[in-house]
Amino acid sequence: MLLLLSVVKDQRKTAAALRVAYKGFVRFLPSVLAIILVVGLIVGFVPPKVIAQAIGKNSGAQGVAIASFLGAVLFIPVIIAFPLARSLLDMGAGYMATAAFITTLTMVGFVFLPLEIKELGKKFAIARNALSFVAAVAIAVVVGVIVG
Amino acid sequence: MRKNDDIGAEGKKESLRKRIRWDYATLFLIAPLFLVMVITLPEKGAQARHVAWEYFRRWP
Repeated sequence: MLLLLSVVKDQRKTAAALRVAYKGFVRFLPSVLAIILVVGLIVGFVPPKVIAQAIGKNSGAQGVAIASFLGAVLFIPVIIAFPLARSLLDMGAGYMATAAFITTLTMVGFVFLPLEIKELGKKFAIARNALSFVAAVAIAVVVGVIVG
Repeated sequence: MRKNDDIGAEGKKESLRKRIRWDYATLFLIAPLFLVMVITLPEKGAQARHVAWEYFRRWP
């Protein structure tokens, strides 16, 4: 509906916007497909017992550490990360570890650290990522205490 | 001479690490692995396939 409105208003700008959207879609497609397949493999082949043992409610600091590390290292679009977190919770993961995973995933980006250093400087990038990591773990602990 | 200088400055071959499209490389590694796992272990494979399809469907 909005697209139609946009076409009526300005065809050239709409075409440009569609081009940008298409480019973004194509750029993310391979990574998203790979992540979807990995999620399928995890849910299908990793026994829930293993998930519960690694990042379950009773895994404590070890679970938070594993989840934080994975969240910091992996690059998963949030649109996939939330359903993945839901699946992990269903498989026995703890709220604290799940919160740590999502928070580090969104706040810390080791994959893009070289790019961040290049664009914003070494000091800034390292300080931001280190502080974000600490904050993410703290948030996870608080979420774990509140939600259970 | 100037032309050679340009080649020296810009024609430098990028490292393999930079030339590889890691997103495509990962996909081309994972897709066959997924296929093999789904075929060899049909019971768990069906679940993996179902989950992957559901995620794909939900992805806008």
